[in-house]
Amino acid sequence: MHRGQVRDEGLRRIGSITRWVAATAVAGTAVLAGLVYEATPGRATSTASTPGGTAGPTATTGAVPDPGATGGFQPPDQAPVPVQQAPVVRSGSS
Amino acid sequence: MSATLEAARFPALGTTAELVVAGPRALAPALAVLEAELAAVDAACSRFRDDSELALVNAAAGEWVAVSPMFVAALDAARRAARLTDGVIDPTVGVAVRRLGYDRDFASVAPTGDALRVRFSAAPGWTAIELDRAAGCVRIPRGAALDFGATAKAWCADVAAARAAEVAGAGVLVSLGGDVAVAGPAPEGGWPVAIGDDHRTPLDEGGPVVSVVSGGLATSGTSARQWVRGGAVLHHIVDPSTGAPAAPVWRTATVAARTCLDANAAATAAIVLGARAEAWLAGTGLPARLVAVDGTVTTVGGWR
Repeated sequence: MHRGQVRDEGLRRIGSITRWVAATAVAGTAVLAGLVYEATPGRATSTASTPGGTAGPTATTGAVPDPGATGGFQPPDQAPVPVQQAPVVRSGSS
Repeated sequence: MSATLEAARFPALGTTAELVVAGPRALAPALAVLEAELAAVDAACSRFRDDSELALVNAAAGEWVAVSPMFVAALDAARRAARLTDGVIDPTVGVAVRRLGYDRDFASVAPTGDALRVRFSAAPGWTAIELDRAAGCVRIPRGAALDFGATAKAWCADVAAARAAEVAGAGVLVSLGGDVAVAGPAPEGGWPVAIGDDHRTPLDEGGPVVSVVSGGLATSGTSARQWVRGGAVLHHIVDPSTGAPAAPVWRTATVAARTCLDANAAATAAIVLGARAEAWLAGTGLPARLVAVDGTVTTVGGWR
């Protein structure tokens, strides 16, 4: 193989390795950040299961509500319905 | 099959912030969003920080003050609540709330004290607030003071829930002092939320539980923040038309709406309106549950 071709082949390999290392580092950092967040002391975190609780078909948009919207009061898609479940939070005065 | 719910709870904005997510690995990114929103709202809207934008606007009453887009959005939220309630909720009650002795973080307010020697007077009114949106400047009347206490938490819950659901790619519930907003896919059957006088009451101490699948649910009441001056029981919900605490007709008012901001505006307005609340709520079309001081429960707007 010509010396120039050898050098080009080497550079291609180095470039490929560099990209692989960079991608691995980014992914690893994201995973570690998540683990550190969940392990941070002082956060009261808990895990629970909701009976029959697969993610349901009810999906609201993630759009941020516009506080300057000029419309009137709008009811929710569904009025609150009494349920026999363990609550996840309590709505009360603060 | 069951979906795993993960939760976090911590103090924020002088109350309790609660986050629940329905999805794997969603808690950390959702929590990061919530903490960032809380910090931004505190910096813009706190009554108890000398360096908040709200404190700077109040200190410069009568003068134009440059404010951030975050403050403008918080002001928009407060003005929306005022408009929807015909001024029954009004952000210009700041001076009245201070006169009542609620002039610092509630944890630092003395539970008892001598009788107040103040003359109550009506708030200046939200229509007197001037906003130059293009220049990003606000001016309030001389002698007035803003208080976003009736809207900031609920609005923050809406924004944080929506953004957290988007970032985490999961269903999210945010509760700030019992002002609840949900976004993203709800767990099957909805989010189970208990209703009570005080959001700090432990979850296992009973009370009705309802399913919330979208929007917001908020409860206003007078029992959680009370203090006594000269034998008179005072609370933080002020009637803007008098500058005095609202008359005790309802112990709590719980309302559901498309947003937590609107739900909380309606719930707080119901407390202020007293005996007129039931008819007014019926006119809004919002599902609501009122608990009178004697414990009698009244529901309107399709609340079952």
